[in-house]
Amino acid sequence: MKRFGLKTLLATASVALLLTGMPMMASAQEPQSGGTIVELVSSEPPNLVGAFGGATTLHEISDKIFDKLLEDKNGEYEPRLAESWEVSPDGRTFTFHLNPSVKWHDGTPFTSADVAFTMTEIWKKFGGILAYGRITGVETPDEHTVVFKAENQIAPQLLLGTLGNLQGLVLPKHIYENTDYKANPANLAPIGSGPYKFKEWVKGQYIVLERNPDYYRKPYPYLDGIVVRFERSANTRAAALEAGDAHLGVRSPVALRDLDRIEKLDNLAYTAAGSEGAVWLQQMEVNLQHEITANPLVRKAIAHAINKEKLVSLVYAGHAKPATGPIPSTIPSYTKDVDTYGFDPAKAEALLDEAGYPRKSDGKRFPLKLVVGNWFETQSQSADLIAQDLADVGIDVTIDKPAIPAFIGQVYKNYDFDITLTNSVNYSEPGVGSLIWLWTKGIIPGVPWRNASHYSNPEMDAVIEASLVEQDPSKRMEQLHTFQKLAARDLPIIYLVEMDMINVYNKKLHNVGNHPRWYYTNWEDLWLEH
Amino acid sequence: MKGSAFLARYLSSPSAILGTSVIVMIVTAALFASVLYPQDPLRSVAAPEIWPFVDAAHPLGTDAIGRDIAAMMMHGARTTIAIGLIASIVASIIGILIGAVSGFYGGMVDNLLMRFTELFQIIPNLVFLIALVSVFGPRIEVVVLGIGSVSWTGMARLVRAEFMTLKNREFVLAARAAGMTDLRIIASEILPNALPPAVVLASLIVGAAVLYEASLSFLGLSDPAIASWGRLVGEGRSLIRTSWYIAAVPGLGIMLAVLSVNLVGDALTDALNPRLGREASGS
Repeated sequence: MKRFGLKTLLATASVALLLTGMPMMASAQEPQSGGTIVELVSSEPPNLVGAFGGATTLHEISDKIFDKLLEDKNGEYEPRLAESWEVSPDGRTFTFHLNPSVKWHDGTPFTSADVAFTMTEIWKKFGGILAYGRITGVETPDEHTVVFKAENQIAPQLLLGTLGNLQGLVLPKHIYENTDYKANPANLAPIGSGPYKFKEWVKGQYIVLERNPDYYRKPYPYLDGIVVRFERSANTRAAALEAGDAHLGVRSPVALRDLDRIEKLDNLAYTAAGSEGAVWLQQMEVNLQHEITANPLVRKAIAHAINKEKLVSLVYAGHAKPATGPIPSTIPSYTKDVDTYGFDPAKAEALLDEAGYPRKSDGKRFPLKLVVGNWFETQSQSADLIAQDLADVGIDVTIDKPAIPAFIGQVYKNYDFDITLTNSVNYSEPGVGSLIWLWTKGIIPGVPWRNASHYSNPEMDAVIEASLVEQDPSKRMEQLHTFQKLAARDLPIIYLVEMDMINVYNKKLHNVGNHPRWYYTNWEDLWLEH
Repeated sequence: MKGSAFLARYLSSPSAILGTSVIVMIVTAALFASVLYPQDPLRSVAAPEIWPFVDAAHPLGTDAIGRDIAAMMMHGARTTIAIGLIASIVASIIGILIGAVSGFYGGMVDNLLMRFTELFQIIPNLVFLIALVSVFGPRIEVVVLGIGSVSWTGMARLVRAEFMTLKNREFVLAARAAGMTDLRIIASEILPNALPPAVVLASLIVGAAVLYEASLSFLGLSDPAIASWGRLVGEGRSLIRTSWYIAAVPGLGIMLAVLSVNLVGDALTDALNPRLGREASGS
């Protein structure tokens, strides 16, 4: 009797739940507050302050804790710490009106002094950022107004696009003033002004962020907290997501070939959305200091010899597309009107013959050393395929896959390579990450992700430098198009594919990938159905 | 010791026959690799993730980027054999040299050489190997010499012990009385008698060397231009949930290779030292 009773009760309850559930389902897109999610990341950052520069994971976490003056949404700027701003017509004065209600996580009010301090003491001193290098004076007429001045003009998009990106996180003056900035204990337990507060860091295991109840953008954030767990192995990440132990992994947390299986699971979904404004390119730097590769015909031949479609289908399982130039296709200033190099081994061979490197008796033309930045499995797989493609046109490739620190030294300091396989991250504003690779002033021995090709072309330099100061948006667009055309014509870097950065998430999680630079944003509107 | 008696004793053990036949299979695979798969085994030749026994053209299937697993297995067998043998020879040469000198002379020489040996013994082998490969680059020569240089300590200690027991035997004393030089006594009197256990140990080092190479390639630290079983396991592990055969086929290969080498090693021990075998079996 009792069992029957319980069963009836359960049945009634579930029917009731179903009935009441229906209107609930209809309004399921109404965000719910509360809940803590577990995010899986592949590596542990050395600290949590992105303002000093550093690896991707560091920026991902730092962006949840700190806030910026404004947010760049692929060329559109939204107010954040600054409620509004004015750019003087001559492009020399940038005035920001700050939100007076913002407080740091320790309760101290946020003021213009914090912004001025961060600009002069942090941004200008660390990271070598193009836009900040051109700021020559900072004024704080009152507590909630800050003015950046530049003796030479700055293109507004360059400064706003930098402030609105991960280089724009503002640090608290009262914590950092008169300290050794890089050794400040707050770098490991940061005090920010963003939607999530730092709570705990168990080294080697996880970082806990909790909801900032005083966040100035109500009703955000929705989540009570985010646990960022370090998990090296893609298989373990896939298993944890599948079992429901974790809710989210960003930037392709599982093997791309595993996504088909993930998609069929009831509780998981994936999306490539959320990286349109922070695009990872796979590219090949060519060393112009070496006699053979200094020949543009050889570079063109290499470009024609590599089967990009095959890279997309085999290595990336379709989650990528062939790249045409230094600015990816989802960025507003992209142009497809550039020299392109389709897969054409016969043409590649003709170009190599023309360049004066005929096949010798053993069928080979010349050897090349391919140095691979081996941080993704896709890098090493691509290297194998590229070596075969080049072998087919008579180029004898030796693959070298040094450890990551050794790679950086070998390529960006000693320039000991013929061709490389590396990645670049390209943002909505090309001045943040795309121009420096091809600028003569980007040849800085010892600094990674700069002009390792030693490409130096006065025509290119003129275009890049013009784009840094141009006030007219349409003229600037033209300059950026010329930049892409010159890059594709001269080929100091051969652009291979634009990689999809896949977010894998639990279906209960909403608003995943809703920003063009999603994994680098603060996730204030991320919410969990419960 | 008579050759035929040795062979008879060796073949009387079923595990020896099993081990030997697996090794013969691996050697055959290695010999015919270039005949059956003349192309570079690291070439992508077909669609990715074809399962084994589905496509006759690719009997063991293809991996994540469409490389033929059978081709990589056969070419990988060469790598396995080459690394196992050469590393074992390198280790044996170093180990026998140090062990012989140490055991024969004793005293201060012994003391110094054994401390030197201990220095190598206390460094975790795999960590030392990884360090070597990181410094000198992931080339096959470095890998082989590296494995050899971490595997010789057991050999040195064994040979030293043999020398210490043998050096005071009558035949050695007689050789000394006859005025033989130390070098001749070591090389022609003691060493031949110390060799049987050394040969057995050398065969076991082959197995260990195969495992070291597999571990290195699993971690992606071996020569990127060479097909090897460990590399295949390492690259296949990211698809373990869907296409598990990519890691399983070479994994099985490594297991069989190491197992058979050990079986052969055991059988050699019995065959080379019949008394030990009889005592152990109680007959």
